[in-house]
Amino acid sequence: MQNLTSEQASVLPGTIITSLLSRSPYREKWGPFVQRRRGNGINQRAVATFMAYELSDKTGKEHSPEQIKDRVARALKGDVFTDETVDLFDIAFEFTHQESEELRRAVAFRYQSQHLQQEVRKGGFLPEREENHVSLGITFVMHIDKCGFITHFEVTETVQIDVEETRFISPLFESAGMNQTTMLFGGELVEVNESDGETYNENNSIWALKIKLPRVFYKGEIHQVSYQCDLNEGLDDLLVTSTPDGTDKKYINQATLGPFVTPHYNLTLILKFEEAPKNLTRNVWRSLKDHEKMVTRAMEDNSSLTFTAFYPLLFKTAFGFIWDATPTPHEIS
Amino acid sequence: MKLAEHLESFYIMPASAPTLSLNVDVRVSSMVLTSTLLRRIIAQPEAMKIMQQHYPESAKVEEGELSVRAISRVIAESQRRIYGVDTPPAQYKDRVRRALAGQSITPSTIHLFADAFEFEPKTVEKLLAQLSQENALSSSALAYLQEFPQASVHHAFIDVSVREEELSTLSINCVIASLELGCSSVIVILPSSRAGTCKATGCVATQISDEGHWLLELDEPLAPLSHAVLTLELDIETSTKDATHAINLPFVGKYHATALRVQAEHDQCEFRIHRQKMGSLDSTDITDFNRLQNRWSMYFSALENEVVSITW
Repeated sequence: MQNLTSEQASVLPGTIITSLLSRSPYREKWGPFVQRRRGNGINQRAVATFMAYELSDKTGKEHSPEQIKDRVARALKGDVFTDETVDLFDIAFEFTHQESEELRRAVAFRYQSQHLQQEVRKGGFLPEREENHVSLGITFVMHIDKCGFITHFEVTETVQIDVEETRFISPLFESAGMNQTTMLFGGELVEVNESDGETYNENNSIWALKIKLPRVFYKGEIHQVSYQCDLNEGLDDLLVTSTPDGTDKKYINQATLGPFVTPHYNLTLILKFEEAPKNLTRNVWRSLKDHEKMVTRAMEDNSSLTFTAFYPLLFKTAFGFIWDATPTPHEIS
Repeated sequence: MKLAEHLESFYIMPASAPTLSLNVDVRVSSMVLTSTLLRRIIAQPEAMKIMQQHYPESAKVEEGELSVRAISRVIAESQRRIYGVDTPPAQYKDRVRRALAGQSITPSTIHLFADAFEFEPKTVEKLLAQLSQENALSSSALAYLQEFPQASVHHAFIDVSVREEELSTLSINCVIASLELGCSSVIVILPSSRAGTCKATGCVATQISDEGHWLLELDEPLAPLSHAVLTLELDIETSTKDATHAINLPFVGKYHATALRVQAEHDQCEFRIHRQKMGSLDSTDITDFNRLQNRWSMYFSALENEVVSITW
């Protein structure tokens, strides 16, 4: 990771959040919660109180100002800033698309330049493993058939090698049963391993690919690999919800990225549907383990077939799309 | 300073957009151009004012955002007011979306927009004239695209492979994001190409000037604030002076999260890499980061209006 970027100086996340909260319309949001005015700066307690109320309303889960006071203080100081913190501020204050992306980029840059991945390898969801590369960008293009099943997806990943004399890299992901994995470019697929690691959907598996690079790579070198995974998603891979009396079953499918063991940068998810999806929502989770959704947004335009999302940084949170699947009666029986 | 000599001959984009000297035989879809023109017109303050009255009160509206739902409401309301036609806004939604995306526009769609946003007669004429031209070039639409880009680069992997002394291959794999108005085409500036052709996926690439301007027409128009993957591959020329070879990569506008790799097929190729703001004569030598024999890599969190020059 040394010399990852050449930039010496960049705007810090703390500076951006302070500047946002100092001006309209955000200042007017926390302003009414100031109890005792001290100077003209940002009142952390008022910000925390406003955020607690908004977060409680919007997530349907009770937040108290005390719970988030320290997080607000650390964020404004710029000491600790994760993608999760950005999401909390974003949900509460409703920043514009550009503002929230600028903030995320600053947080991503801070992670990248401070080589944090060594220290932050705790508390992840996927099993821990030693990485020999840093992921600079991943693009997933997923194809979904008329019944809402994912038929295949293409992954293109830009990596920066972190260990001298690297010959192989091993991408790792969770998914339903795989038919076939094909290398599109950037290396040769030598192994596909399935493991029973802990997964969000118990019918899923953890897949580890072993890709042989076209030559020996040295620390700091950048490379790009691309592969396609063909899936055979079945009924078992869907989440099922039913009405209280159990008569009306509803099937739900999803495409999710994160949470990751190490920070991942520049993630793009592109969903291509054969038919307009039903009840498509875009979601952010704090942790997939306890299924606690931070925010759900319904996608308004249901006549479109392509839906996309981009995050400059994903680490503590996971994001993804959820839609209704409509398996045929044959598949259900 | 050998570098400065190389850069002098290089086309440097000034801060304000220059007049484009366009090749005349370019054909651009008239639908795309009419859509571009239409979006530009309804992004004007007069039209935005009408539109803003039709957002739901709770809606969070980004500056300059065109909401399909709000436009459909404006149209439904104006049709009821002018002609007594009672069609619910939802029935206009698909038509509005296709028009904004440049997928389908008919003269009657133009009239719907004209009634709703109270266009001047000459504006309607201009739109209809643009639409009736069979895939013809409109320099005004191209100039507009250049002045007001419709997309930005969110992540790019740029690979320069030096094959022979005079010839290199440039491969770009990038994720672009459309801005608030959505995007159907983009203009990019690439190093001069030998063949004038570019292998592209996700778009059709046409060289539109001798200064390296390329028009990329997307295969699928992008909805506002959404993303697409584009790949480009072209052979680029190397300029040679006093046994020093150079390639200049221009980054016009902002390229976020850009990973750059340079490698040579033949041995003994010692690269020097400089980074220089456009319009400035000072350059920074960034060779020492990640230097290896025949190879050099770097990740930039952003490159904006600058040139990265590779010499060997």
